[in-house]
Amino acid sequence: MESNNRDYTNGEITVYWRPKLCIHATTCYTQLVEVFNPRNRPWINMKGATSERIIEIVNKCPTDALAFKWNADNGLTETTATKKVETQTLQPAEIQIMKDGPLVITGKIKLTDNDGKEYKTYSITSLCRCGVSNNMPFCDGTHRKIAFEG
Amino acid sequence: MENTPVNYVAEFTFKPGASLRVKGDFILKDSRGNIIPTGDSIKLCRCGKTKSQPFCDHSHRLL
Repeated sequence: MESNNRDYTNGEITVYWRPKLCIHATTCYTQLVEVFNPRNRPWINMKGATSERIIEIVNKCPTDALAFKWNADNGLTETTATKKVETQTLQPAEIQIMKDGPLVITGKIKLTDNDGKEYKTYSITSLCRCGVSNNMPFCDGTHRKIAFEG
Repeated sequence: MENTPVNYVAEFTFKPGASLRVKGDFILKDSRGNIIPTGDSIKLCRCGKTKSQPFCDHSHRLL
């Protein structure tokens, strides 16, 4: 039982929050802060946007940290089936510097350490830039605790 | 292994305690979304101490 898991509903859909799966890609709150605001408690405000708009952002979450279902479904969370379809076209990887935060990398990449050990990456991968993540080389959000600037 | 098809466009190699080497086909964007022109191989800072963000300037050696 994951005690930090939360479910949020607006009557129409339910959004599932599984914090342990979050890789801090920051897509949710940079694109829809009216709903996803880490400064607020609860951090998800289901009245901040339409169900369609919330679904659009949930589908952009690169992991299953955010998932949803239509309440009428009464079924399993079907989001993973639709959200994980990755485009197979090999476009250039995009490295986005987040202000005072991580590198957010989109695209098909290979991540290794200098001993050749390969690390699993997702369609979006967040890498630490502040130097103090406890989950190197990935971002774990610690930059906020040390007020990293860069 | 040599015949394994390449299914990635860029290679990211990091050194614990040091920089991140990026090679291949990639676009680098600053925090406002502007493209930062680069060559096809760069070293990015991972220690947070560089004076030329986002690039490595070897400040990690002073830590």
